[in-house]
Amino acid sequence: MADEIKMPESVLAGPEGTRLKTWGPPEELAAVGKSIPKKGALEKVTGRAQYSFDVHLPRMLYGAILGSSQAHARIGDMDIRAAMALPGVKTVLTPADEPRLRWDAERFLLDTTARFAGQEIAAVAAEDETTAEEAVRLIKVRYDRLPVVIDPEDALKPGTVLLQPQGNLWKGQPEIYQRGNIEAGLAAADFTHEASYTTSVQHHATMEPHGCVAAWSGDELTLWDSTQGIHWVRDFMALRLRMPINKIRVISQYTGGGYGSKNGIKPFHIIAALLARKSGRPVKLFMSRADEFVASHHRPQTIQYLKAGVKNDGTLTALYSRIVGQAGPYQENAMWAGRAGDATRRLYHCPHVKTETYTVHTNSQSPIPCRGPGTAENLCALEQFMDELAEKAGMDPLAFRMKNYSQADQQKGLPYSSKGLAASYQKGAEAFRWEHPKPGSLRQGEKFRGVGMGSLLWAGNETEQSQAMVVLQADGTAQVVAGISNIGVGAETIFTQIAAEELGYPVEAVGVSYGDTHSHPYTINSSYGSRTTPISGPAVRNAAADAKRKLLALAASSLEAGPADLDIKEGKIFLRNNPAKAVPVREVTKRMGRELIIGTGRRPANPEGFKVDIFGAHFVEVEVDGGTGSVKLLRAVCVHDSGRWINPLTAESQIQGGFIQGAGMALTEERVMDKRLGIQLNRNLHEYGLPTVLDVPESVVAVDPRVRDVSNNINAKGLAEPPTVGAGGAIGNAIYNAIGVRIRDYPITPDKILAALEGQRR
Amino acid sequence: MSEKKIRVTRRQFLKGVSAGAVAGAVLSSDSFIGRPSQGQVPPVGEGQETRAITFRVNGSLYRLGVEPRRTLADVLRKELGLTGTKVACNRGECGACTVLINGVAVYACTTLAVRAAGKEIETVEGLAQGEKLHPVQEAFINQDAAQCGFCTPGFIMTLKGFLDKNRTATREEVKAALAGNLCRCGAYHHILDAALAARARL
Repeated sequence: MADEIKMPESVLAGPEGTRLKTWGPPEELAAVGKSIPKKGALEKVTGRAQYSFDVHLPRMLYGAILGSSQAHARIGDMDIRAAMALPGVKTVLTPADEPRLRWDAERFLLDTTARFAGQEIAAVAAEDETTAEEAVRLIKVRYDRLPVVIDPEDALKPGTVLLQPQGNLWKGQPEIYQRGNIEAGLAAADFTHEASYTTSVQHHATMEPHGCVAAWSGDELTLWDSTQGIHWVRDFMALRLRMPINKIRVISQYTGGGYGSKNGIKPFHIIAALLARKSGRPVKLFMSRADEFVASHHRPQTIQYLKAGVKNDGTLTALYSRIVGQAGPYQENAMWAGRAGDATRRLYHCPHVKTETYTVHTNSQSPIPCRGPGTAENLCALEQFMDELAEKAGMDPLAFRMKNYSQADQQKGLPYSSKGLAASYQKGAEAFRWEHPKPGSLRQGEKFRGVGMGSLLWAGNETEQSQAMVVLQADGTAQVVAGISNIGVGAETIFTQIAAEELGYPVEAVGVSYGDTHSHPYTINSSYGSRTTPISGPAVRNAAADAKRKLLALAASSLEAGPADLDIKEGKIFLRNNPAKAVPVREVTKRMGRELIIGTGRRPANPEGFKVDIFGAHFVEVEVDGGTGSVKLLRAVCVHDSGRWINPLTAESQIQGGFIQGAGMALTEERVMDKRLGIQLNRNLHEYGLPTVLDVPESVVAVDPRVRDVSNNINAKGLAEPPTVGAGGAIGNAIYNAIGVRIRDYPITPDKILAALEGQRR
Repeated sequence: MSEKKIRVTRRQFLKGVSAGAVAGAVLSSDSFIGRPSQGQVPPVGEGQETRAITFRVNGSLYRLGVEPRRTLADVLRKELGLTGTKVACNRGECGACTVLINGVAVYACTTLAVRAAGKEIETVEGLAQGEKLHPVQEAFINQDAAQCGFCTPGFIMTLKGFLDKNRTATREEVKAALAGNLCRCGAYHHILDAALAARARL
């Protein structure tokens, strides 16, 4: 591996003052770095996997929520008589119920002022879904309408209805970041350039909708939830319901998609629990597909104005961005509309940088993290902008980016724990056979071909606590016990690889259990931020190291050697200075009796003095049909500097899948909203524009630049979100290269392509 | 917000539909052959009169009473406890509910259960012979074609139905056959890899 930084000692801290081994490249390892199928795959392909959606309890009722039909209104009288009279309806909850439960400081769980269409205002539980939905329709509500504001730029105009006491600008003022002096930077430039970009709302559109099954037994609540993190759900339920944590059990063995939408709890979780308590029966409350579009929240829309100063040799002297993000009406989650500036501030080397972020309250559902929040939006704009600058400087886009390479993090002034961006450029260009033709030059009849590339940055994880257990069984097998959920990316599988590697066991001998807060103590609060591997993986390694240490202590007595003289490989304990003298692990573990060896491990802190960031580069080729305006993705090469790839097979899945989500954001996915009424008009998967198998490129090649990271004992950085954040900019650049006209508004739909070509003809 | 209400009761509407409804008592869950029902006896009152249907699911014969308005997906999941078939959109857009009826892939969420009367239904639960997996299932495991897995049963049934009749299909033809199944995780490439690996083994 290239340019190795020495592993900081603190990172290799093992149990009882021991030191873990530095792992070498995958060729030297037995389980880590191997492509193996996922645990739980068998359950998925046989239909045995039980999702929370599949849970069916005796006497279970079905819940449904009445969401406000108005984007901004006071809820007047509510007549539930017809709903209650419907046979099969068991319970109705309204804002009139006492005691009134709060959701947070700003609103009640069922409030009498609705500030976005779909806000929860009542709920029912009935014998079946159809009856529950009918009952919701029978609830008569008097809405006293208030003025609605949807467009964030409208929301900032004087005279618009105010959604927060300090006005519609979150915190009352823009968030400003400055480095150096922007005016000086612009003055030092040989040329300047400016452009404005827009990105649209993207919905998570998980295949399994949001929902849960709530069941009480005495004062204990069990919740099967479709979630990215059982522990956060449990802890928030305890907080909101004012219950002891040990009286709540959250179970989630399989979650049908999250992508950032299923962290913690939403009002429906509490509503389900209350319906169950009031009716005295378990309640299953899952969103219909139409309601799911609102209940999941979404990636916010942004407007990004960028201005740069550049020297003739391509050096950036100044970078300015004014960012407007559309938030919802509440403080909660508003922050997610103000995150589209991190790459602008940090990805490229520039001494003078200023960003002004306006997060604006509107009468639409609040945003929430959606795979690569903020940065996906940011890079759609920034990467096209970099290409615009490169063109003006007369440079190849790749060369321009290398010219403005930052060796250290510019915000904290720290060196990186690893930075494989240069390696990504180089390996990507090689794998893609990168050559940058003149824009619009590759044309055959109505078909235009083009290539584009983009860099990517995703903020790496800060230090965070995590712990795990590894249990050794008497027969030489082992079990990793991890308090996580399974969102389909294979975290539970890589835990077995990590444990097997540390223990010296064959990976087939290591199992893993997870998914129930009663049985699996906290390992991570929720799987978001691309951090389950780098945060929890090192804890698993330490737990395995602890188990191994105890096992070797047990072995030492029977092998007449000290524990330090022993090691384990391929399930055999052997003498270091005489490897031929080996015994199978089970010969030792069978003497444990009933006292199991349980290894516990914690994650050491990130090393001081390093910034952890994740890098990469995407290269894309497209063909644009000038007659229809449609864009065909031909091929992509995605290089991801995520440190060690623990399982290349599942890493490839993440990269291909993430790229497709980024492609959807760039080309087809869009919320269509009626701005006067604040209602989404396309609340179904086809009109929303979810990518199908016909929309994906023939190949998405995943490349590992193999740059070693030193921020944790498994040398891993995250890989979940980077593939999404890198796609849109590269695709936008490829489209420009194909047709010679730049489209700065995402999604780049056929109508925009046709309008651009039409404009070019005139 | 006021709406004009259409003043027709459910029963009046149903009388206009020639459904051949069986008069009399609601058939209870123990009137069919096979697994005991895990749930739903329809509520009395506004529910429809049930109709007796017989069909074969994964080789087993079932006789049950269902309301004509029930979808096949809902009956498979609730009455038969076969929750491998998923409901993700409930409006025939995503394919997560795909099952085979007489060998043909259909969306079970937009198929009325009564329409399946007298037919042979295959769901994902019926593919493996005990623990001997179907080649499509094995390929999905080995190619990592299932990420969150919620779309997986639908894809597998579509593929099974297609490959049963198209052993020599090209990659493009396989792709076209899968166009009615959505995967939000974006596992399409591995799904295609799995499809082609399975095709080679069939």
